[in-house]
Amino acid sequence: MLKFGRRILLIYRKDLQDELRSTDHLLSTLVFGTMLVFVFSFALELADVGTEQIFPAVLWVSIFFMSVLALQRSFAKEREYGALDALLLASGERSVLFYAKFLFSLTVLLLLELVVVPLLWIFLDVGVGSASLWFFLAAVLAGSWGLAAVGTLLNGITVQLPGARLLFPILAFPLLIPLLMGAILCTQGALSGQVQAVLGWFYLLLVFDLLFTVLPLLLFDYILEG
Amino acid sequence: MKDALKSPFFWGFTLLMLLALSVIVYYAPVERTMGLVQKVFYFHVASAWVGLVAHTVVFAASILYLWKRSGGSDRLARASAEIGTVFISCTLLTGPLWAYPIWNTWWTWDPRLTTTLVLWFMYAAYIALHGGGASEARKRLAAVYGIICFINVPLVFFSTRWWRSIHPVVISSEGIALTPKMRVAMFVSVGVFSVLYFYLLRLRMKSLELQERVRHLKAQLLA
Amino acid sequence: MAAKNVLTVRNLRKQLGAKEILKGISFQAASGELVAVTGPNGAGKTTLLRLIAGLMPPSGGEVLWNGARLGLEHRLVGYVSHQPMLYGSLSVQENLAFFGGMYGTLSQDRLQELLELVGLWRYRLEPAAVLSRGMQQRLAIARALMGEPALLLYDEPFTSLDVDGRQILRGILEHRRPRALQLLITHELEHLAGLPFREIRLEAGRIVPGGDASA
Repeated sequence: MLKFGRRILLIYRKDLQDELRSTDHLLSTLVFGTMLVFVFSFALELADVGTEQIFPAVLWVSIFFMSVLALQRSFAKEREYGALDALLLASGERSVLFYAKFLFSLTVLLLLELVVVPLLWIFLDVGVGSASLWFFLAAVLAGSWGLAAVGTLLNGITVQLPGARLLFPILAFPLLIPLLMGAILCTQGALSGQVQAVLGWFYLLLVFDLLFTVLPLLLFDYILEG
Repeated sequence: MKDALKSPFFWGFTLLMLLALSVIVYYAPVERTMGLVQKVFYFHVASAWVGLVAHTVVFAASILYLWKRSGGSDRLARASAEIGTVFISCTLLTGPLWAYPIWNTWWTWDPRLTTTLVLWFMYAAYIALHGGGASEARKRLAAVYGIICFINVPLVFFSTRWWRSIHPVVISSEGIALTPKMRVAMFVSVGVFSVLYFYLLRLRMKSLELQERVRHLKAQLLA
Repeated sequence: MAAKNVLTVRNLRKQLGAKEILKGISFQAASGELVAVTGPNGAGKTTLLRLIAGLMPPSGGEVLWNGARLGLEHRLVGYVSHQPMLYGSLSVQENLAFFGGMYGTLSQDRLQELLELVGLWRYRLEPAAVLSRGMQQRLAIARALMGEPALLLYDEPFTSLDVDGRQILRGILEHRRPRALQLLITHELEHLAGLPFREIRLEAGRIVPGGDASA
């Protein structure tokens, strides 16, 4: 168990090192995310829509679109020089790869959100009056956790099919519906300060996260067996 | 098509369908408040039922494929997904026909509607991923996705139900809210649609098998 | 060295769709042997190696290591494929250190020893992406040796190596022979001239009768 943990951390560190060294992908994703923020807030301003009510929906749709770019990186970097086989042999267990890539995806997603979420908050001019900041952060973390888990699972699938990049969002969207609902409603509850009312949705998010964190233990052997 | 006309299955099934239609049209009474439009219910429920059965078959066949790696279980999953998509589409089309006069709206985010729509998207994604079984990898990966989807369905359903529900619950734990004659018509319709599902499934599996044989023969000729 | 390790391949089959790539392969080999797997393109050589490595499951038959079924065993298998299997943005040293960490066999001495063995010590700080294909192949060989594997699988390792590189690889094959079982796919047996080896010849997914012979 300890050995698996160490291997997971080694792969995770290697991936971060690699990602931070060739930052072009991370940067383009970030630019895409900020552009989404700008386009949404500008469009909503033109349409004269109450931005405070719509903030949770815009937030999660932006994160979803951004994650389509961000979450397709984790396995792609193993393909460039065909390193996946060597990594599998060195891991000794396919699920080690899932958890390492999951941690990496979650980190990247959170890094991007660190910039995009405050930007969106400012652009949409959302007040902080009665908001519960802690619950907001918990909702963002729980939502990103599930996104990263589903994204890693599906990236393991699409990376094996050349030219299947477009397939990724199509596969991801139907699976992410419960997560999207939970995340949006929790964010809403956090903003209005009515945490008690949406606590059930937070538990749903946790169940979703747990499911897609444990399911790969059973399925990842089949995904990466080629 | 010519072959289908000669098949006893085809004629037997045509008779069954006519029987179901006459039961729906003549035997089942016209609903007091909704009127004739309520008759769409029999098609709506039956195709939704088939959609769910087809989805379960995709799940079971996917597990079987990962376990045994037999071409047959892959074809079963693929054929069932395709037919399921057609029936789910029927459910999604007949629903609004009834909903517009009764609810005064074409669409609403009710749990059953949402789940059905998500089901449709999952089928579409599954078929896109399967890609006609162009490679063993696609078959294997589609099977994994088919399993994930099935596990995800209850999550979608309960989360949307939690959120809201205005859909009439015709069959609940307290029994069925239909007159006896309507009940008969519903069961006949569900039964006949189920037969239709298995009939189409058989045809589609056969044609997929032939396709694969052609591909195989072509490869042998070229080799 | 204690008792010899024995690899047993028994009636191994692999079916991909309607195509049967391996149609029942059986052979046995023990540590100390160098086995050359030869045969025309599409004979199933690479598939055989990947099955032995545990990278894909067989459709039938089994691969046994000292009588036990072989899965994706940690540290047992060193694998050199057609592809260099490395990370372009990491330096030569970082690439090797990463795999050393994964195998738990990392030390500064070992790193230096391996890099000097394949002639890459001078280039240790270069990113792997800027190396030539031949240099990348040398790094791939060093990576495969990193975990001290008892079973080494090489898929056409001589391609893209220059004269020096080939000489280095021959040295490694010779040097590892007493300790490990080595399987090597090649089209040119002259690369192995002077080394005691045994040939297994595959054609259309079968071992050619008499194609399992010692040279």
